Amino acid sequence: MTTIHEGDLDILLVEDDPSIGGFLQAAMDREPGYRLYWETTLKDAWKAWEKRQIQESRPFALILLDLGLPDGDGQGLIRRLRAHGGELALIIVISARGSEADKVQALDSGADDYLTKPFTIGELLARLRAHLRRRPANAFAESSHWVIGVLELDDLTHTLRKGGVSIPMTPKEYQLFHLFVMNQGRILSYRRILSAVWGEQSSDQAHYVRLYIKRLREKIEDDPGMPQYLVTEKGVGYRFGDPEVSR
Amino acid sequence: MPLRQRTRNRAFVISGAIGLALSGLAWSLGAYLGFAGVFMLYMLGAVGTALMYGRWPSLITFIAAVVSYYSFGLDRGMPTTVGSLAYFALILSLILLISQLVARSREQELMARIRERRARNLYQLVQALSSARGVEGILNASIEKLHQTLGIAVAFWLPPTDNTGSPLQMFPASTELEAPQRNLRAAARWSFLNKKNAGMSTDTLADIPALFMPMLSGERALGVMMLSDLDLRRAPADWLRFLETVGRLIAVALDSAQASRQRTEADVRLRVEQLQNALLGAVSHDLRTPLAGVLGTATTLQRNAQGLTAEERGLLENIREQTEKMEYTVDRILHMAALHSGRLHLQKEWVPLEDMLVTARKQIKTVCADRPFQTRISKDLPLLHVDPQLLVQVLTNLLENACRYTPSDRGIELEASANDTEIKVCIIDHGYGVPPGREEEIFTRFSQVKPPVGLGGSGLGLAICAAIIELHGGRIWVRNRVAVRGAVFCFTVPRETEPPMPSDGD
Repeated sequence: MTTIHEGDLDILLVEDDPSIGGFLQAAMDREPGYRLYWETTLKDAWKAWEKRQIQESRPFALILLDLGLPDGDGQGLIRRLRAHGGELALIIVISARGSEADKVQALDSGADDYLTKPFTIGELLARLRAHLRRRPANAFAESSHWVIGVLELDDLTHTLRKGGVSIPMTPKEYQLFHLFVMNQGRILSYRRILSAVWGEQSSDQAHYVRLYIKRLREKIEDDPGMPQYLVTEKGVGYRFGDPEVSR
Repeated sequence: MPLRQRTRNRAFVISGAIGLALSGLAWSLGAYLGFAGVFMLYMLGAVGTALMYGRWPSLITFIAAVVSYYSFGLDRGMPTTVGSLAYFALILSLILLISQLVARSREQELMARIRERRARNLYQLVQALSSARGVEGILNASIEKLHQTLGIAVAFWLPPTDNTGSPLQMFPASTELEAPQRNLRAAARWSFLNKKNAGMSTDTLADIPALFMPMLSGERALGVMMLSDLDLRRAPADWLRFLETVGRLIAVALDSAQASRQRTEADVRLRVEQLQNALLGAVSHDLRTPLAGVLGTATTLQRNAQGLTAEERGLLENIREQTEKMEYTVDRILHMAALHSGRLHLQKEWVPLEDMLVTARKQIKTVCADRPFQTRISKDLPLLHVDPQLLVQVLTNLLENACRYTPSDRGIELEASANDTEIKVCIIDHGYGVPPGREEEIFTRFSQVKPPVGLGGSGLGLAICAAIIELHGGRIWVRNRVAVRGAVFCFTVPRETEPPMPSDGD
């Protein structure tokens, strides 16, 4: 019953658990616009990836990766994909590991996002849509004027408006906000934010980030206690989300 | 001693005999030697015995010679008695001078020999210490070596390994001395605390037949040496210096042995921790994976439920709800297990309360729905130095609790303030309060006040809060509100000096 269309998005699923792989396969088969290829080991996943790179000019656009696989840890595959032609592919980690350290490591290795098992199929599809919306990534980053919800950022004049009203910002606040806008939808770890805004030598001063996020929220959010734009990713970092996309 | 006495007596006899023999020689050869020659002969004999045996034997030779000289009548034919006496006086002073020189050089030679022997003893001790294993091995090696080489008996007084401040322990425990154990302990303790010698030959508890010397490594006393069978009459300063060096050597050896034991213990602790973490991780993985399969499958079916009846859809929703509830419980139990493994290390960071509150409120969005929420956080509230993951858990549990027990149209309030020593956070609800007398019990595991409507919890939430706050060195309590319905849950964490803030100069 699956029909293949030219514009379909090719997804590589790397997952060893049959029940999870099974439902993802079934769900994606029924979603228009997605085509899922399922591998159960790191070795086979790498083979499938390479085959696509060499034989067909159509690489996988998205990799859904479980971390604990029978032939090793998925962290290695992330680095390998990023180093071998997979710079543009979206990598989303799906893992049953509750440990935040694993998530941070995966993000620092180059993953774009993660979902902790168990998750509903609705959560996964929403995440996919949010990421696909900001593609192609380059065009988004090369722009100098963005509108996100009621926020409007102009990089030429370094101004931020909320509902047309200009919001004063210090240079560091602007730098931080700009970093988030450029990486819309993507989780930024504390380390990544610190090195981008405060420099490599401040990488253990996570409280800088927390304090500035608090200030930014007070400036841009309607209710700083229930932020819509600057969302906390527990134990990992922050994500700049579009309130219309993230539910 | 008798041997020494015998050699001394023999020296005296020989010396006397030499004196007599000299007079004999003078008598028989006097005619050839003449007056001066005879006196040279006496001088030679006296100086010879002084060199050989020392002062007293040479005096004996001299006296024997003088007595026999006059009694043999050798003075006949000599010039005058006064003249001969003057010669004898000259000989006497020469003898005294020479014997003193001899005695001094003897003493120096003896000291050199003693020093050489002590250096050798120290060297042997160092060798013994370096091959000894562990604290007990070092102590035994020291006792054996000091007894072997110096003939002194040593025992040690050591503080207990756990630094609890309990009294010093004697090693070996069977050491016996002619003094009450109580006095020995007192002397050892005094020496340990003051880092000075005590016992015999000191000003402190001098009547104890042992010397107590602290074993110092740097400025730290690692224990006390108790030395008995010790003769401090000769060169006491020298002896004490030597023993002090011995004490330092043993202390250094003890110090490195203790450090290596601590390293080993830390190593074992780390491995146990890694194992427990791995185990919890594996259990977590194995519980979550099937839940992920169920939840994913159920939601996939729900998403493609066009062909299903309303009843079938209800059943699917049932699966989903129960799975989510299960996930929640699994999370709680794993969390509690991690907290109660006692191996959990706080990963403290500096966090604004607001930041953690955002995370907590996001997690209870479903339970608390659109309930009014008010915060009163003082503007200058300092950053909290806490493990953010764990403290978010506390906030989540307390807020969730407040929502569960408060009618859905009533609000929840949060207040936070700080004084010089602690930061206090209170969550105030408009619920049914806590039954009087159960204020403490509800923080224990699996205790639960029956919620008003069919809302059941795991009963672990508040116990988790209590465990986390305790780990942070804070307090947690609940009281009912006065005059109005509801409960106030409060916790504190210690206030700490804040870290450097990012410069606002940007």
